[in-house]
Formats: sequence, structure tokens, C-alpha cells
Amino acid sequence: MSETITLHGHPISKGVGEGEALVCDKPLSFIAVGISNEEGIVRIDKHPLNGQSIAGKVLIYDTDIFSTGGALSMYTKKTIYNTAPAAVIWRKAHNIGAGGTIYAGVPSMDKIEEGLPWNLISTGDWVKVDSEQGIVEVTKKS
Amino acid sequence: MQLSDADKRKLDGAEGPAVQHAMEHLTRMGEAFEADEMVDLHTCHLLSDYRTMGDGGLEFYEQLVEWGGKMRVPTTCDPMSMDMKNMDKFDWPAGYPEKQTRISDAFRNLGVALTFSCTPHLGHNVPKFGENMAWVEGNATGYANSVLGARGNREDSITAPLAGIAGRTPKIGLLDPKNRVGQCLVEIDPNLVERLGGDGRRAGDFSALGMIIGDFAYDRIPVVTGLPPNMETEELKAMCSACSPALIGTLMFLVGISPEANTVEEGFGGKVPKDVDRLWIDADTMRKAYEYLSNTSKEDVDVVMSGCPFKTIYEIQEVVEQLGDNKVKDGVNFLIHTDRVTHVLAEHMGLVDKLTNAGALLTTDTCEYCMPIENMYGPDTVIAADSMKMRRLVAGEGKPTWRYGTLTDCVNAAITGKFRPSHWN
Repeated sequence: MSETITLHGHPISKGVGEGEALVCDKPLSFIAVGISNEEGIVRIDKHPLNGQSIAGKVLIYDTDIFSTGGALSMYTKKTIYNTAPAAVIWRKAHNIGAGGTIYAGVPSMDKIEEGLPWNLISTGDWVKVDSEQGIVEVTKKS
Repeated sequence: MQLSDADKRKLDGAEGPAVQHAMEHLTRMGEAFEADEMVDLHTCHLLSDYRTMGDGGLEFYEQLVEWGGKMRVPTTCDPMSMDMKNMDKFDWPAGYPEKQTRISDAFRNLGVALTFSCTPHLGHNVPKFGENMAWVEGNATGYANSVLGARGNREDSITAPLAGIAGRTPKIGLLDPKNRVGQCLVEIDPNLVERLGGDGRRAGDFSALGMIIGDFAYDRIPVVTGLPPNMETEELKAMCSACSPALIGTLMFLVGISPEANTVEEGFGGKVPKDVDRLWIDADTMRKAYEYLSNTSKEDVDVVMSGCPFKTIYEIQEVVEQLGDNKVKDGVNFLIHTDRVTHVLAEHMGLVDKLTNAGALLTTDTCEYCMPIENMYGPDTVIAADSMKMRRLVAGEGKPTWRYGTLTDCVNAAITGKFRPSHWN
């Protein structure tokens, strides 16, 4: 039986989403030049998530860097190509990630009370984000 | 969040579906960031490029038009994915001109000034002290906050147009004066200051300096002291381009320049905290920044670019002077970026002819970030640039590699085909 933990955080975009975690402790951007809208694969100079697909994942990163265009890139990923993440958790939400996830209907949260999200969740864990309740359920990869 | 009676009427649909839709989103944004209230918006700047927004973005704008949306405040727009004046000079993917034209059509209907420029603050959208902005484009928002004392976050490309349609925006982040307080201190070595900038070096030096400050401050507000006296607009423009590729926020208190930071103490809201986190920048820091910004050691360059953020007319004159009577080497693509208004001025002044005769191209309304760059340049392409922001945004698997130098280095690379850094090595 895999270990399950419950975390608490601050809702940004309300909803419920779940998927496999993709985790880093660095800033990230949804802009098409960094994560193509069509494929959803990270291609940013020296980024720890390079080569990984964000599609359907629960994506965990620090906050949004690069262009404000990230919000519309996120919306296109969600509505046109189905390459958006299932949910997003930040250390601290930025307008760009917040505006993008709220408008695209991707659940998102920040400020996890129990600690920094990358210390609590690992890539490959199964994560359910319920930002209606402000709760994150993590089933650790066995 | 407390809504005014006028806000509530907008939210209830009394001013039509576009305003109602905008207010619904703005209310969710305000609640997410725990804003107390909304404030009046004074100026707006929108994302234009099809490459970034894709079909979702296009449909978003066209839906706002269908709902009768109109911008309530002066609104300009960022560069687009193509150079419509030089269609034959680039290999655009099929469908791009049509999609980009539909975005322009939507903007006309929304009442957006079709400036397609990343420097609205130097042209057709200059905010005053204390005014509230909803701007995409970090470099512009950074300048407007740090140099002009206007207020705005690095606003996302969805919230910005919706705020413009509603004429209101939640008071969050830098829109709230109580959040405009320094959080870390940057001091510049006087020996370095003497060597910074000047002809042929402004953009390279000051955008690298901005990156150093931005990487240190990250999501904090830096108070920067020891800057050169009488900094030029172009130098400040280059430095503020750190807002997005390095600095997460859009405010640097530049002591003696920022209207809210006449002194270091004022930048910190009255008193410098005892345990303040400090950064000292000297010539060695600068040399390392230049080194780091080259992500290839190849000497042969295919493309040379300058103009991120877009060139002012004086910077175009500077390129012409740096070129002198020399010609761009066959096979090298020398691109200088500006907006169409500045291009008209440059044409009128004979600068376009001089650049064309030398074999360089003054582009309009676009740049490597907005273009579908993977379709145009393969990963083997080497680009020389004096623009830190472009270098940082456009790099990674499948994309060109970069040499970073001053404008003088870049012009020499365009003439000889070889990049040989001269200044900070």
C-alpha cells in the first residue's frame, strides 16, 4: 500500500484535477517558445524539466518567469492542443500563471502550509489537487 | 474583495457581455490574490503575436469583439509574429499571415492602437506618475514602474485586455503603493561605473547589468545605488529589459532616478533594514555575465541581431555610425529591430537607405521571440546579439545558439562573419 499524505494550500484557480507529478524548484514559463503549444514539451536553456511533457501532469514549480504571453499560451494548450497540465502548484503564484490557469479552467494553488512543494512531492507521485477545498492529496510513488 | 456599485453593475451585465465577462475574470483574479478592492485603470498594452497566443488566443480576442468589447483606456500592442513590410525576406509558415491579420482586425474592432511595439513607454502610451497600468511586456512595465513611477505588474496576456475592457483591475502587487518597498540592496563599484556604456556599448552593458540585478533580486524589489549620473533613456531601457528574463517583478528602485527613491532610505520606505541582503557589482561580475550569456564558443556567426527592446531612432543612428562605410559579409543576416513608426522616421532621415546599402535589414514590428524561430533558423544557427533578454528567452533544444557582446562586437561580426569579443574579456 502506497503512502498517502494530505497537504493544505491557498487556492488560485478553483477546481479539481489529478495526475502524475512533474516537479522542479525553478521558475518556468508556458510561452510557446519555451514549451511548444502543440506538444507541451519543455525546451528552455538549462532547465531541469527539459524534454519532459507537461500535458496532463500536476506541474510543480517556483513561479512564472519570461513573457506575460504565457497566459494565452496556456489557454491555447488547454483549449486547442490538450497539452495543458491537469493542475499547477507554485511556491508563490504570479499573475501570469494565475491568469492563465483561472481563464483556462486549470486548477491551481500556492503557499502549501506544510513546506516547499518540491520537498513534499516528487516527480512520479500521483497528486490530486482540490482547490475548491484548498487540499492536495499525494500518493507517493511506490 | 469589496466591489463598488459601478463594479457590481458591470458584473451583473448592465454594460454588456464583454464587460461582464471581463469583470467575472477580474473578480476571480482579485480573490486569488486577496485584493481589497479594484482600482481605475489608466493604460493598457496587449499581446499581439500569433506564435505565442496560438488559435486559442485568436479565438479569445475574436470572442471579445463579438461580445462588443471596447478598450476604455489608451491601449497599444506588442510586436507580432511577422514583418509585414519585408514578407519576402523570411520564410513564414503557411497560415501565419492570415492568422496574424485576423489578430490585427480584432484589435481594430477593440479600439487598440496598432503600434506593434515593445516600447510603448517611449512612444504612444506614456503613463504618468501613480497611474495604474495593465501591460504585458516586462521591459516596458519595468521602465514605467522604475523610471516613471507608474504602477503595474507584469500583467498576464488574458487579464490585461479584460482589465482594459472593464476599465478596472484588482489592486494587487505593485498596483498597491504599500507593496512598493525595497527588499534588497544592490551597490555598483564606482570603478565599474566609469567603464559602463558609451557609443557601441549601451545595450550590451546595461542589459547585462539588468540581468545581474534581476538574477539577484529575483522576486524581490531591489534598491540600486551607485548608477552613473545622467543615465540615458536607451541605457535605462536596456537595464529594465531584465524584467521578465531575470527579475520576476517589474520594479527596481534606481536611486536618484526612480521618483519614489530619491535616496536609498526612501527606497526602503524610510530606513535600510540592518540585515538587508546585499549585492556588490564590479568589473569581474560584468565579465562573468558577458561570458555566461554566450552559450556557444563558435566564432562563425550566421545572424547578427540588435534591437531587443526595439531600437530608438538614436540607436538606429548609432548602428549606422558603427557600420561606417563597411558592408555586411555575404551570407550573414544582420537584423535590426524596431517598430513601424520609428522605421518611417528612419526612412525619412535616410538611415534605412544607409542600412540597406550596407546589407543590413531594419525590420518592423517583430523579433526572434515573436517569430516562429524554429521554422526559420535551425539549431546549428549561431546568432550574435547585444540583447540579454532575447538571448535568454530564445534558447534551448532545437533553437539557435548565441554569442553575446556589445553593439560594436555585433557590427564587427556582421562585417567579418566572426564574433570576437573586445570589451569585457
